[in-house]
Amino acid sequence: MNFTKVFSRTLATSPERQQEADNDFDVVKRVQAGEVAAFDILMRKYRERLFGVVYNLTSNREDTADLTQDAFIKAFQAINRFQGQSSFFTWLYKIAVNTTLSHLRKNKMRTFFSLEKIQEEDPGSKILSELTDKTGSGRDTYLKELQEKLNEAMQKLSIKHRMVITLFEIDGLSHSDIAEVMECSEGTVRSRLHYAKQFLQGELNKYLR
Amino acid sequence: MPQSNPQSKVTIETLLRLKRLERPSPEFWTQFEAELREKQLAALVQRRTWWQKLPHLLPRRAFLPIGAAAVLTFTLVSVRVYGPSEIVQSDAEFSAHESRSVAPVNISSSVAASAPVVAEARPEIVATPEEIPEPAAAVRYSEQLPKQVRELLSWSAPRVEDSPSARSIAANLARLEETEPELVNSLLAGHGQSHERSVQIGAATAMEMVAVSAVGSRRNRLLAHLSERQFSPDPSAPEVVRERLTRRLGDTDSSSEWTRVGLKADRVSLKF
Repeated sequence: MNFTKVFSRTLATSPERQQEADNDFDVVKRVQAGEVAAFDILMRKYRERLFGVVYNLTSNREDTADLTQDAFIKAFQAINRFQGQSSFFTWLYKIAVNTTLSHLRKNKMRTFFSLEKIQEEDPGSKILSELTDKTGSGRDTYLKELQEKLNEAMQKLSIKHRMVITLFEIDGLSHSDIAEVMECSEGTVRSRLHYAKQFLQGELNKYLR
Repeated sequence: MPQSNPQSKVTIETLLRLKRLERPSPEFWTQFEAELREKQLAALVQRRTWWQKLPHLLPRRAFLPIGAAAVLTFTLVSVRVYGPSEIVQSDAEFSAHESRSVAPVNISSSVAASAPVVAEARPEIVATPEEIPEPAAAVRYSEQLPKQVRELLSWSAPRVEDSPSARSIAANLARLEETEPELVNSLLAGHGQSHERSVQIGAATAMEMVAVSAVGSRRNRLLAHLSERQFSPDPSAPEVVRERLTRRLGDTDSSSEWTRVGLKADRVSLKF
């Protein structure tokens, strides 16, 4: 799979990201040399991003916690095989996505939501004011309902469609990156994205203006 | 419904951005880290077996040749073990075993007596007990049989001459033989084959009965009780019933007689 190439190319486009990748590789070398505690640096750095990716695919915080931990453990066990051909986050991301997909395939029939609270104090919470002009408890109720419906609609999508919409709309990957990640053509990605958006629009029509 | 805001337009992309804000609280990460550390330590302590290590030790390029070699070896071994020569041998062994299993019971002698016409048509099938070699183990086994079982076995193939239906069939056959000998010959050839099969089945069933009856004394008693009742129908029964019972017990096909006898763990049943 060209997953690593995709991410290395994506990250390599930005010099900051390249610098970040190099720094990560230095830490990885320390872990490979036997400094186990150095792995904590990597874990603390990437745990939230990794958690976000897994959470958006599962919509279950308990499962997400377990799967993220499993991904870190797998990465830790296999870190001696990491040779720096891609960025560490790319490699870690690949492990997490594969672990999540395997979990989702095993538990196809089980859809149990356990959602995280929306962090309103976040600087990006201007999104919330875009979504509603309500205030007080009415606003909270509305946001909670919207969150539930959104996650419900996401889980109604197939794994492939969910993955496309997560990678594109939430993680911000490009079409070509997603195409390489999912081993399909860009056209297929666009088509899946279009279908997924249409489906979500149909499901969430009530909340669109 | 949310109140409409003319200045803003909520799209599906805006809604999806909401998911970026779904994050766990800082306290969650403390617990997450503790759990992860536990798992990490467990992973460090956990010893991997050699087959778990194997895929990591071998280069990826080696997987295909190793797999192909394994399949080839398995195929060769399978062909060698389950090849055609072995099947032929098994067949020969099976037929030898069959002949051994038929011999000790000596059903063939009684069948020969019950079907004299068959004996004329296919003399090689109805061998006399002297012609059939009897293994020593079988002799010992038959000596150990309870008396009642031996009685039952001897009862199992009654003489056909006693049966009125058999007499009538024999007469009809004789008449047919005079008028159409070719038809009779062809019929008897088929009957001989089926009879041979029935002899084998009968012999196998007899062996089973012998094995079962030699074990349980209770079963022996039941068999003895049964054998006493076989030849003496209830005197209080009406004449018609007794006649029908006698006729049915004296039917020619020995295999059908054996199928009427049902042996179970604690009882013997007879089907009429």
